[in-house]
Amino acid sequence: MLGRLVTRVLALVVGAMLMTGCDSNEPVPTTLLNGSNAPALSVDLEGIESRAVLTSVATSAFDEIEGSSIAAGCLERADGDRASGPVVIRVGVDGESVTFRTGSTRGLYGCDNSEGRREADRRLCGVAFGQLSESGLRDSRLNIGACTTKDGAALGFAWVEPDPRARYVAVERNGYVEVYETAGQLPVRVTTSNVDVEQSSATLRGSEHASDGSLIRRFRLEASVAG
Amino acid sequence: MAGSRTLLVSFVAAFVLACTGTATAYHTRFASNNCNYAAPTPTSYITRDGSATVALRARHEGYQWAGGCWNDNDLDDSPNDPTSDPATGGEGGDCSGFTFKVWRESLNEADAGFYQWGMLRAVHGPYTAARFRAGHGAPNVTLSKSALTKMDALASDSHIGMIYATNADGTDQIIEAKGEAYGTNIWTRTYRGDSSYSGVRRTGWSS
Repeated sequence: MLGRLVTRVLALVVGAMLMTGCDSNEPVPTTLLNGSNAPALSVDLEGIESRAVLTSVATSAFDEIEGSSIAAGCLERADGDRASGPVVIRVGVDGESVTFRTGSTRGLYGCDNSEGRREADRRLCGVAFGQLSESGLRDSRLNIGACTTKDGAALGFAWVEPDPRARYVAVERNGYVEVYETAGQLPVRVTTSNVDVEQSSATLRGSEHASDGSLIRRFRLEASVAG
Repeated sequence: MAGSRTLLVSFVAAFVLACTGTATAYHTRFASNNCNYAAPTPTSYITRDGSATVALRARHEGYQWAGGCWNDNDLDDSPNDPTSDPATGGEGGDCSGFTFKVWRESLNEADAGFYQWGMLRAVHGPYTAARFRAGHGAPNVTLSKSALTKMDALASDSHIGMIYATNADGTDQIIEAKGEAYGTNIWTRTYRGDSSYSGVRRTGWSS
């Protein structure tokens, strides 16, 4: 009798943990790094529902980038090699990024920013360069180290190459799911808290969704700092 | 009947041999069999000659994407790993992992102190070549290429190598983890004249 009761209680606890993603009752964030409200998600993403936080994304032409912006600082990294296509600027809950590709070098440039402390003269907490080939990026160009939350927790940034059908890329965070709209036919630079500083690596879990929110695939990305 | 059995046995044996050959081609288990996670030893100083000695111990060893563990037998113990795969567990550092270890840096980018990592310590560190090139991390600064000296580095967005010596013609002998097909060694390079490369220095050398 007692054994049956214990079994039922355990089943309830396990069920509740699975439903909540085993996380605390922390509220889902409603604001982004720049203080703006997270945009409303117009569709339900299959399997995510109420835990989703949509990040903001803007695309600009090379000539439209303002001189003092994070994007302008990032464009300087290309050593005068013009962006071929849009410059994609993303703002998430605790990270922001810039991504663009250049024509002559077949390179993909990225710049990352977060709230945490860093060397005084640094606007960015990380930079990334990926070599593009016919088959895509050589790797996800993980950036860790100087990127942290306001409280000092480690953050990592990496590119995800979504399925061409994907409109949304969703990445598991602590208690919520950060959602990125695809843009400019470029890899999507995403943020993760699941960073292993000792191993210079990060594990990202997420999913890709079509315009109507339907699930295209789930993914688990093991990323390492390299090269 | 006997012929069919012989044919079947031969086919199975050939299949097993082929699979074994493929599998052992790159699953060397070098890292899992040899590397460790021992804590680094903090040291109070770093010298350019001392760092060159550390770097030379990696000479003729292998190259591993995202790696940072090698022995000192002047042999690539895991040749022909698939490139760009951190999971192959082969011997060697990649260019940035090699530099991190030779420059005795910390996993904490805000810490400019000196940390002696054992050769067989599996560690890559937080920097990519692009981040070294940008001077990220408390120990690292960018500087003019004309000011570079022994064990300073030349870095592009996709590669970094340290100056072992400078040649009379202005080229440099660069000690670097070059790639899976080449391993780690010293090569004469023209990075100093290449606009895609910038000068990077680890700060705090005693001599």
